[in-house]
Amino acid sequence: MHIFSMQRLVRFLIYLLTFIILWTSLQPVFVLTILNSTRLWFLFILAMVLMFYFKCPRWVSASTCGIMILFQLHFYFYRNEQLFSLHWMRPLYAELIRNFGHVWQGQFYLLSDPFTAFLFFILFGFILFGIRHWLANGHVGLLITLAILSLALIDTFTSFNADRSMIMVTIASLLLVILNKWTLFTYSTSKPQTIKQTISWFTSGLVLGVVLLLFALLVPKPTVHWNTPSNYLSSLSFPFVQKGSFFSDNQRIGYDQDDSRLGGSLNMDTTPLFTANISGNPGYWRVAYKDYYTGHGWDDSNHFYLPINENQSLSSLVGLYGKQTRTNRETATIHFSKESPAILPYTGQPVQVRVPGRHLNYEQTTGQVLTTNEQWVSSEQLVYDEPIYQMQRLRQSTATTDPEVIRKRYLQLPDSLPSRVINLGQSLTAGKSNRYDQVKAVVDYLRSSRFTYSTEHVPRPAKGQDYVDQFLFDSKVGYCDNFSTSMVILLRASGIPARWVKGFTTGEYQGQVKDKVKGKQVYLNKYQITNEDAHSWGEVYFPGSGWISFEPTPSFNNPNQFASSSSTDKTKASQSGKSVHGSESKQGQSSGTSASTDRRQQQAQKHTNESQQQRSDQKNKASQEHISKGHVNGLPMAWIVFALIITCTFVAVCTRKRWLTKIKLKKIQHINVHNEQDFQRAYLGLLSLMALHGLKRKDTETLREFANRVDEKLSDTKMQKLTDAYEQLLYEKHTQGSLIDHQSLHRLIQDLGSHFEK
Amino acid sequence: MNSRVAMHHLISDLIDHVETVVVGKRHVVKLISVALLAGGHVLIEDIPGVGKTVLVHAIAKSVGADFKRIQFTPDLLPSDITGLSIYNQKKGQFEFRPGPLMGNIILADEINRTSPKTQSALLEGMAEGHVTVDGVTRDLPELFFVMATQNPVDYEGTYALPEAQLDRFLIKLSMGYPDRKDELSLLNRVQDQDPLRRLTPILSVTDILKLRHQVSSVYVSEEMKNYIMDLIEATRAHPLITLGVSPRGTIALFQAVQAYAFIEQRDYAIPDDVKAVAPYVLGHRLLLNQEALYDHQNGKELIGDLIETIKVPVMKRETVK
Repeated sequence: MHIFSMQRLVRFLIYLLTFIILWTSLQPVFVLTILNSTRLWFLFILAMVLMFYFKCPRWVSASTCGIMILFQLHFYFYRNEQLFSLHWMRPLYAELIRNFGHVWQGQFYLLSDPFTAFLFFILFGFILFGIRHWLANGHVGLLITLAILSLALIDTFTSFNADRSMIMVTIASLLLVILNKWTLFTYSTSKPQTIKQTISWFTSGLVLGVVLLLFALLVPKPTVHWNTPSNYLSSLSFPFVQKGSFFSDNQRIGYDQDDSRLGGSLNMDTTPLFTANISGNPGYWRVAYKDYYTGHGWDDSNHFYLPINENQSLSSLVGLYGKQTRTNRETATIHFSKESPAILPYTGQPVQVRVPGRHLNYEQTTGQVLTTNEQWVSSEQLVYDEPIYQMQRLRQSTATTDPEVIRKRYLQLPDSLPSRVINLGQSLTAGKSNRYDQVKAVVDYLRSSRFTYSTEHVPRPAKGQDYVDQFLFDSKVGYCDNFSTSMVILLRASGIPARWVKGFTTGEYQGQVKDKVKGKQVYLNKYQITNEDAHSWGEVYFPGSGWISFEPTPSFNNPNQFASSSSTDKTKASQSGKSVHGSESKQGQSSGTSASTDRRQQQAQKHTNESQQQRSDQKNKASQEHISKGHVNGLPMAWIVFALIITCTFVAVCTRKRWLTKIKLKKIQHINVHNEQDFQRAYLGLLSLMALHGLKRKDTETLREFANRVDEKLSDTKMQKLTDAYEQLLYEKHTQGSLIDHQSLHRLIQDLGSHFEK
Repeated sequence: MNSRVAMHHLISDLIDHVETVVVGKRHVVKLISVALLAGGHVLIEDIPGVGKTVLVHAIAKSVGADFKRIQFTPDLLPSDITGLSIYNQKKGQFEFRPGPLMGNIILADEINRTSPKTQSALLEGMAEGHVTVDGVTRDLPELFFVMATQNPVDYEGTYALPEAQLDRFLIKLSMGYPDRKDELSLLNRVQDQDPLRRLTPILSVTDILKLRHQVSSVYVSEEMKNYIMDLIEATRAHPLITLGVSPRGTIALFQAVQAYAFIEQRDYAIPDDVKAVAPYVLGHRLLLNQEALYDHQNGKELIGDLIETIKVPVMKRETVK
């Protein structure tokens, strides 16, 4: 292989490795933050690295970067608006201005998601351009340091397990260093390397790298002494870390719901109910769960009370989390206002609940904790376990491993449930390999723009109409109860045990308070929970991990959740639901009412093919309608436009030699060399044409040296003659009018240009 | 214009003429001509026997000027080269006997074998154009051209020239061994007859003074001046160089570039001129640091590498926006 093509290959590999390193070190972002569209990130990074590779001018890559950032912001936060419209640009602008105000005033906990995302993108953009600079100058060390450092920090301070990413980055970095060193070496010596030298260089580099890696993998590692470093972060008590949803550290850190709009039947009032001082991260406040769905709502007619001993641990009774869920022990103190109902809410898994001077009962069917006389109390003390879910464990769950007790109780469905609901549930989860992804599919479906969140104008189901069916197929407008009930029913329809939970969201952050816990002075986070914060959500059973909450309601984020959020603008929420409207009503005819739940499930398994068929039909129809209406949520259109732009750019870059030659030749041929400026333009045009064909003049090469090279290559003497004339123009004292006859110059230029025509 | 063309020819004739004696060293001859035309002096450093003295002889013989040769030895005294006043008993007064320095073209052979005292007498003459003997300052002739030779410094019995004195030489170069082909033809010539004997002058002192005047009017454009400055500044910022080129060096480079352009039959300078002369004009004006010395780098090569990193101007200034 010729050394020149070797250099090219190495350059390509360097950029490829850079891409891999960038991509790998972004993995935590997909898991930990709400910016979790891997496809968008992939396109973003790919496009930027490609632009750097092809040495696009800075303004081109910078503006592309800007457009991509806007596009991503649209995708994550303003999906319901058309991409090419001002309907989302203006709110975005207003949002940014408002948030800059918050920053100015130091109110970091008020910063909104789009703003945080915006800042993150800007930062990432800067990093990208830093990388561009480093790559151009061969400083790959900085890139590697940045990647490894960020992964190490994320691994330490969040729940994200970066082991695999770290190994990937290390391998890629080693390769990158080897390649980069080689490039630097060949540049600095400027002596051509023989193939033998090159091969031995790379072999020794690779062997060294492999030895290093093996050593690193095999060497014994001390066990971690710092078990829950993420606690360290909370002990720092940065309000914005605890309140922010963006770096939500999804399993634990809460979501600020200061603009909670829940209401409807729950009264839109802000009556304070209780304040909670908690040592851990904010979580949803659970009051009770329900498991029996009637077709109109959730029933809990039977109650079984168990008295709770003061010193008895509640964990075994409540049994929320399985062995595979790690927990942190935390405490909370709750003070109730006079208006509060007689409830004892808890968060996480309660270990100990105490109300001074009262005896408590545990209600077994709903998981509710009550005082024995079920009357109002002024305060409650809580010791609880805050869960840290293991993402990978969740993904390993499959339906077959559910215990019989769970299956019996949490797969219940009313006989009157229309089969189209069941079909929808099954089609949503079909093709997903594990439970987590199945649940995620249902949650994403509900959180999509098909449904509108609203507390007003929510129609009641007609007499005999199923509550879930009415919401899913008719009204498509509702609030948390609609979404959470639908989620539970859809999951049960596909054989996943689930139940409905009601309680409160995290409430409004009130700052820090000093408190005494077991005689020690600690700082606790105070939250104010009002009537507005009343909420309901769904819980899904994962064998080994226990019950895990999921948030199906758009614009709400469950703190115990793997992030999936889009802060939909409720008042403007789109007409998107209508597009699917017609297609789905047909499904109702496919099967009649069937007898028992079990039978239906068997049927479901048999007819997976059928349901898949239906699903694809439905998809086709939906997309057809999308195109015919030309907007809906603007996404398919945008994707097409985006893909077109990418393709065009790619084609243009690949064929640039051909069309650039044509353009440049035309330009040169049209210049009549009448004066100095014309001659200079023509000559420089000729130089750039030659550069396009591999005859590039180095910046430090004199014109004469270059002309010699060109003439040698073309076995000609024309370039020398032309260069002599140009040198005269450039370096001589008075050339005005003394230019040699322009016709011969013109001919020289034409002749030289024609060399490159083919 | 015509006279100018004729003048251009004079110098190329001189080079051709010298080449009949010194084979295959056209570049060296050209560089010496640069010093001659720019009014500078030349230092030739090489091992004994490669033809330093013959070359200088040939140039001196081609110019019909007063040629003097000084062989420097450790016991040479300043008065031996400048001349001295001797008491004339007949006239009863002191009489000045001019030394060998009072010539047009001086060959200072093995300059580093003499003591610094004597070296500085020579260098004063080179820098100031006059010498002081017995308190009387005496002017040197208008055409005063020194070609000094020296053995490489690490040879035994040598006094190295200090940097400040090396600065006085416009150009420092080395000869190197001739090619095989050239050396063969050298043998053939020796068989025939000593070619140096046949050499006749083709240039007069006035010719050279005229040429010098012409050289100083060679046009150096703004772009070229900036190109030169870029190079100079690069020497001052280079990590291996402790002391970069002084403004005196800048002026020297400028004059050498003018002379080289003239030799190349042009009345304007181009970047190639700078590339051709810069290593020889600037190489001995640098103070390299230890790292460079360990690396066996020398100034000439360093300048040669450095100039390959300077951007060449290819556009008129006013059109650059």
